[in-house]
Amino acid sequence: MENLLEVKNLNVSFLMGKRKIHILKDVSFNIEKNEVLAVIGETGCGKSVTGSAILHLLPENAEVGGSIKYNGIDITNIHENEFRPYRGTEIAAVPQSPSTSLDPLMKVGKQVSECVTDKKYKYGEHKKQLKESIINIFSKLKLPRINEIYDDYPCELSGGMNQRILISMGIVTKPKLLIVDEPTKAIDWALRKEVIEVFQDLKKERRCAMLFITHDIAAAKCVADRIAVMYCGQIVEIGYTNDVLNNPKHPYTKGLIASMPSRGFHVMEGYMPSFADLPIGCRFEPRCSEKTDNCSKYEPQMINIKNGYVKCFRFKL
Amino acid sequence: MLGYLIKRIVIVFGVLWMVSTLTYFTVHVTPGDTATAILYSIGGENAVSEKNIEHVRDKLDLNRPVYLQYFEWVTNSFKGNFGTSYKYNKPVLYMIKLRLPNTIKLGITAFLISVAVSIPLGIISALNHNRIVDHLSRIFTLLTSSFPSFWIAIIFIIFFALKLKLLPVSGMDSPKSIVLPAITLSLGMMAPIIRMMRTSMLDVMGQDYIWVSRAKGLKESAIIWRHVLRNAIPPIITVLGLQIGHILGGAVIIENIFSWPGVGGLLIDAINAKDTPMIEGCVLVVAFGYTFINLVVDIIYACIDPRLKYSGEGK
Repeated sequence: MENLLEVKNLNVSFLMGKRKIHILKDVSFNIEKNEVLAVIGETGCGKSVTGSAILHLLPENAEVGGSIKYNGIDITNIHENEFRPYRGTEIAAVPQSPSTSLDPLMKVGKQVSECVTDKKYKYGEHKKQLKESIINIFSKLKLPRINEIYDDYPCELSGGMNQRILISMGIVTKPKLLIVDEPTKAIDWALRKEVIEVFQDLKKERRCAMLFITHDIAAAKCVADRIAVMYCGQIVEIGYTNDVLNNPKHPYTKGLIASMPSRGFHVMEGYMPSFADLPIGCRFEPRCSEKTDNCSKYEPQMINIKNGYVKCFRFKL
Repeated sequence: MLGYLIKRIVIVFGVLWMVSTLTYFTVHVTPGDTATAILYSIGGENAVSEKNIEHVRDKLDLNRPVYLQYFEWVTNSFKGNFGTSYKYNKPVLYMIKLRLPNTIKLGITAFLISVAVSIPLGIISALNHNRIVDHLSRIFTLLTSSFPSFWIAIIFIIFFALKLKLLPVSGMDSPKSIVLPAITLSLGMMAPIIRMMRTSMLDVMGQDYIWVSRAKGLKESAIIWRHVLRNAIPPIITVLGLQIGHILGGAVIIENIFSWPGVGGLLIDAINAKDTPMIEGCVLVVAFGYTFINLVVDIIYACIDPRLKYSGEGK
């Protein structure tokens, strides 16, 4: 199938004073039309930076290298004015932290509608129709009191409700690619199931491609077609969801899966290294239980597998 | 909202009572005899004699205990009678009514100049964070907050009135007369507004919802107007309310330097003459202005920020 997004050797670094801190290193993946790719990994590994880099929303001190192609067009270094029309309409985002991602002084309905109205009614929808379509989305997302909620402020809604408002903002423009950042992070266990179902429905009904950033492996399993495992700014393994979860190839993926409560809660030892002081060889080497002599000296290269790759000296085809 | 309003109004009256009581007793514990001060301010050294002092004390009932004088003053104040000025021998309220419009005129002009300069400058500084405009604005705020207003007033008089002869030195004979005192007064309150506006803008610009606005594809101008400014303004309203106090306090000095016939000048004269009723009247006017403006600020704040309704502060 045709690729909607192609990310090749994406490098992102941040200039901190005179020092350059490299966060993403040679991140490569693609997302086909209507496909959901989940990026999993522990907090601070660079998942959200990847999403922000695609959206051209990194801080001013960031430097981006490599290439990002959307629908065959290289969008890596295009000017802000040229890229802005893509945001919201072609590539939309559902951010993490519902409590801080909504403007506290603006009614939630207005916050959803401005995704469309600011683009001069591109979709030919007048205000009343737009309100109706937003209320319709609210209803599909199983929000209560849908008519009143439109005129509520974020502080009047619960975390789960705000999370669904953020999802509404992401899908109201019917984008082709949705970047979803930690959708289950700030919500309780009961709502988590509902939110996962929302994305499953989105995948089925709207057939929109998604980059599903999460550390919730169970959520990724329910929604994603493929999974990319990220560790310390690098993708160490990528493949079909079932293959990655049932037959993990990289020791980090194995550790991550073993740490799931359903798989025995065997938490990995050690911590992710600081981006300011990275190991010379494999970044996972200090924590790896299967390390070889080469691991501390050289960086493992990409070994292609069916619909993905693995970066590990241990892995043999 | 009504409960919140009533609570705030009660606080306003409480503050006014505390201010008036403190002022009354402070005037009485300061060194110097009231009768002597009154005689000196009216007729100079020659007017001060044992006989005259006794006469003044008898006439103004100054021989009674201070607390009795205080209770009488409080009772009369509730009836709207703030007493008669010792120095001018006219009702305090009449004198204040005569001078207050001038102070309000000067205060509003200074406030408007200050807001018109500070808010745009704070916004420009934030939007050009750490660039040359931001550095220049920082230097400007440092200068305006470092120089005392009386020094700036003297420099302005020397430069604009005496050297260039563009504006009058003092008084309020022509519409031009307000320019120098108003600018001098406004300069003193610009620094905190500029800095607060800049900090507030930068703080909001770093919030997640601004990132989200960009992710929505909104134009930068729309983000600034709809999201950044709207969220940056509430703290500024608080600062503006507090700066009204600066205007009322600063007017006392500025009115004297520029011979502006306002309440500030009246208060200085009253302090020199130990004219207790007049001091009380002037201080009450200033305190009322300050507390009333801050009440308005709190109400505006409660109206524009829906979170206050739920945090209990707006209840």
